[in-house]
Amino acid sequence: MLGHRRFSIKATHVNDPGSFDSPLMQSMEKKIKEHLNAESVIVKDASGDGRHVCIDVVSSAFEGQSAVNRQRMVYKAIWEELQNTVHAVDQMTTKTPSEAASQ
Amino acid sequence: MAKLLSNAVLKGITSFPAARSSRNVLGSVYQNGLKYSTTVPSDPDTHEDFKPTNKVQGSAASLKDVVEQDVKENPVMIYMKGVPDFPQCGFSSLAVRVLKHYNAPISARNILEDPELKSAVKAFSHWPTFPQIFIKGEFIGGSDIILNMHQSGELKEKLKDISASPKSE
Repeated sequence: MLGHRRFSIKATHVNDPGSFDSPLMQSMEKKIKEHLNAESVIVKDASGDGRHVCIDVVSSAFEGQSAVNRQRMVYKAIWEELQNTVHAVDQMTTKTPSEAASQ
Repeated sequence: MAKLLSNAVLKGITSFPAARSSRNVLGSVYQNGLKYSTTVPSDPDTHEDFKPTNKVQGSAASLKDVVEQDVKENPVMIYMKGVPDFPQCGFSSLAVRVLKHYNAPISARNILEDPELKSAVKAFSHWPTFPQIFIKGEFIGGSDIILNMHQSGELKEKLKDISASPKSE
């Protein structure tokens, strides 16, 4: 399982009840990756039923953008899912490659 | 109220029996050609301080106007789940607590009450989740962004000229 993740376990890491990627999580990851030309995208189901998710994105598209603009870019990619299944984003990190590397 | 009713009776309007209290009377009374609305919102969940001055009603276009007016007129505007005194979601509760720390005057709308308003706010800010915080007409973000700004001191800067005086720790 560790090989699947690019980042080391953070203090705020959420233990997901379903440790496999559901199709919904995967399609969200794909959309974000394409929309932002992201280096890395992780969407985790935090509640086991797709209603709460955690999102970690690393993309150079975030360079120079404020926190709210970065999140808005991500939200734009997955707007549909957020209107339907996903009820809340419990946590979202939006880092540029250099910010991620320094963590 | 008695005078109102007696006038109504005199003019031959029979829709307001004396037994009914003014709180439950819906609709209008015509008196001297002027229309009076006697609807009194009796929702126990909203507190006077936080209630917006006009009740939200109507089409999508006019709801957008309501949102625009909200953020323009109120230095701190939060669209949340529940009300500041009784939040119905952990994130909304967190956002309110952070904002209250600065003693700033907060205006709030409960988007759980009105699904159309909820959609209008989402369309306005291009933001899909709640709570949503606007400061001086500018969309700031959700609860995590507000918390970050509070921790970094950025929020204090933004609210400097709005709040009366920050609460001492």
